[in-house]
Amino acid sequence: MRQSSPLSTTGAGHVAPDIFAAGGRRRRKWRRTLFPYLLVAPAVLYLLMITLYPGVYAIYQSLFDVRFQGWTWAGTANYERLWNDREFWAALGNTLIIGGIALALQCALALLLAYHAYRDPFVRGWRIIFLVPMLFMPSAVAFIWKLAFNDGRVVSDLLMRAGLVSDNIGFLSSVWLSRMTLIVADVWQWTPFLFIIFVAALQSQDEEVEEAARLDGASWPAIFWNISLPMMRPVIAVAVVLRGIDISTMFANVMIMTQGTPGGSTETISYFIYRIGFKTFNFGYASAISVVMLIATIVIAQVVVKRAFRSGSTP
Amino acid sequence: MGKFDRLSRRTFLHNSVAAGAVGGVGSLLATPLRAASDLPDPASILADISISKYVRADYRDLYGMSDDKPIWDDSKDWIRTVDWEAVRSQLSGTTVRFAIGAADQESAAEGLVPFEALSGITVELVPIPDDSFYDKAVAEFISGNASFDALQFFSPWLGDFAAPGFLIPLDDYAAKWNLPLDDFYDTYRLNYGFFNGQMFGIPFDCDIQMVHLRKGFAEQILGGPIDKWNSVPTYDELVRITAEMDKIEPGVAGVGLLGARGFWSTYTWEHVAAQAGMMLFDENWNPIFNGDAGMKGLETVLALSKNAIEGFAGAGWGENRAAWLGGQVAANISWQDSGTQAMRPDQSQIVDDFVTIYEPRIAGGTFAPPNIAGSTSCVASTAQNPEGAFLMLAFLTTSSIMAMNEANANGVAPGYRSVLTNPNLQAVSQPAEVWGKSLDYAWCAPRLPGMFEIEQALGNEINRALVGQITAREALDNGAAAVRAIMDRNGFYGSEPPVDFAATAPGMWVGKGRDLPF
Repeated sequence: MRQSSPLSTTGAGHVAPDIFAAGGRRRRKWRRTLFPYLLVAPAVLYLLMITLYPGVYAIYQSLFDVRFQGWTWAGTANYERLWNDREFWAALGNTLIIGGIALALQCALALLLAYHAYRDPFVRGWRIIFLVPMLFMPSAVAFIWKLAFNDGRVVSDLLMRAGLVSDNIGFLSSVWLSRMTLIVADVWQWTPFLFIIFVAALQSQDEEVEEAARLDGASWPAIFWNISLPMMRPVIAVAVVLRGIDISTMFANVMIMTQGTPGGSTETISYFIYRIGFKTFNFGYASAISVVMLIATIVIAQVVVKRAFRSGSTP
Repeated sequence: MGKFDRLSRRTFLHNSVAAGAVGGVGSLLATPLRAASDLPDPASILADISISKYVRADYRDLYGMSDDKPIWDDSKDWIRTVDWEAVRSQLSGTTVRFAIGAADQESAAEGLVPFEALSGITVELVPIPDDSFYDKAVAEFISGNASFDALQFFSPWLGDFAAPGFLIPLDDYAAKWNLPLDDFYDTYRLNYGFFNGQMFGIPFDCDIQMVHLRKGFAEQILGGPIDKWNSVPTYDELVRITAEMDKIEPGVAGVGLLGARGFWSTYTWEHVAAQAGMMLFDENWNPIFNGDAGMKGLETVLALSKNAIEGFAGAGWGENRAAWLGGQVAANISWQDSGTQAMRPDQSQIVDDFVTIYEPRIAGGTFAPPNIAGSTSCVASTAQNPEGAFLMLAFLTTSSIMAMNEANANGVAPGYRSVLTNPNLQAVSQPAEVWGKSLDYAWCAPRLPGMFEIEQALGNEINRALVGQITAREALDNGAAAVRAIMDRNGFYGSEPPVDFAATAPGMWVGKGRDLPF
């Protein structure tokens, strides 16, 4: 019979392996915890490099007066200048007006289209057509609309042939008409983006809820308005935030179609930053504007999403 | 105004290809030129840089152009006076890197073949996107990445590039290689070539702004043939007849104006205000353009804008050119090449129905035809082969090639007196006679560091006035405040201004003290 060692009798012989086993488990657990981070580390590092680094650099640069190679400490002077800069406030106002109207129109049109595409079997079959504008390069879209409104006089010509106007329309000479050209171009191209999201949201909703409403005698519009739409609220909020952020950086259309004409009434904040940074090479001031806009965008997006999800969770 | 004309610039370079192709050096394309002894005879290459080989065949036929009717003076054509053997012995086998608009890269490579054959210097092109040449070129210099030897850019920016040390002075090279600077009109030599008393550029695209009229409409209003000096003697008269012409034919507006934001509006206002005697700065570099003369100029532009084509407030050179050549305006205030290109049936719908007139006057003002903006060519301070770069630019800007550019109506304009006064050249370039006679009276904005920003800031305010957002007075006062701030940032109000006013003043109005031409 094999005798147990004193260690064995005390149980110490079993304790030691348990300790090692526990250590191994902890290591394995630590490894398991760490492993996913290691996997994503390259991507995170890459993202930090291309987003965080320029962001931090912009904040740093915004504290200097940067002229060619010369950097002069400016403290908060660039931010103070911003408060008194008429052109900044005008550009901000233009962005809100043009972006706000474009976003509202895109939402309304996308919801309308989604409602029909979701219900109407014919439209449903051809909904891919609605996505075509989104597939164009933004610069190509801008050139198309520039040609239509301005250089090619296409819109003027059509309106004249229809007898609605007697002479060519100066789209670039009127504050509201020039803004309208940007709105039309943006709505034409990006309504499909919201349309896709809204259709997907409608299709993911529980059909039994709609069936129950139909059994109660509700019409499709009533179901859409009273049931589908409230249930879509978080999705709409996210879509609006995404599109809103995109619109707030509207650049290509302005650059190609109007360049801020007339009198700066179509100059958006992105074009303004570009002009300050790359036309006057005042990088410090351009960075300050960018930082302010970044903070404002984050805050607004956060508020909108939070409110939408809060209200969306208790329809 | 070829700076903004990709097609025209490309056409120019395509035409340069012809010179290259016929230079008898086609077979050399495949073999890099290295040893001077391998190079072909310069005389044979030069002989083929000729009207028959360079100018478009349809234009030669149209105007009866031939090598027997020269449009330049050989004795003043630098490529025919320079000692190419000396060039070869010194620089053959070296390389020049030339920053050029990306769209022109391929054509330029071929267009410079004769230069490569003449000099033994290899040219490498550094393409920079055309639409943002200024931004990109400055960014390259700032970042220290400028790897080119030579570059061409819009001449008003000469101070922006020269003051920070992006360019090297060319005086010594010009003297060494006998560049015929005296043949350039003073306004081009001083303003496209010199900054702060030193030579930094060789004038390239030598432009002037002019007034063009549709002959049929104008004669209908004026009741007879147009006299280029007397028919529209004043801007008040121009305002009157453009108002009349605005009503003649549906779809044809009274006048075309460059009224877009930024420098376009600035240039149009400067054009007119110069006739009222406006100067931008006093001797201490204080902005004075918001005085009576500047106001008169802007009020005149505002009056003209009532008869202007729709969309003028967004029109830059491209839009304006299209409207003029397309027959959508009855008068035009633009560069001289509007008057050359309008002659060419393949470019214009108003051939034989236009005339370029002398600059209208303003009571109490001056005769100061505006040399607002053309292009200049410079050597970068980072150049590895500055002398080779200088020689390449001298080749590109030589009078024979520039004269043939004008004959080809490609928008690249000559600034040589011997070319613009040549009767054969005047026969193929409708504005050339008026243009040449006007240049001795030309007005020009000084080339200063910060000028690009000044033109932008001022033009933005003028554009606001053009669309009725603010008054003319507010526009110029706002502009003056903005310009003062820019000048201050650039050190003009310190103890040592970056530019000596006395050195710059002679170029601002070369007509000072001269009697009127008629």
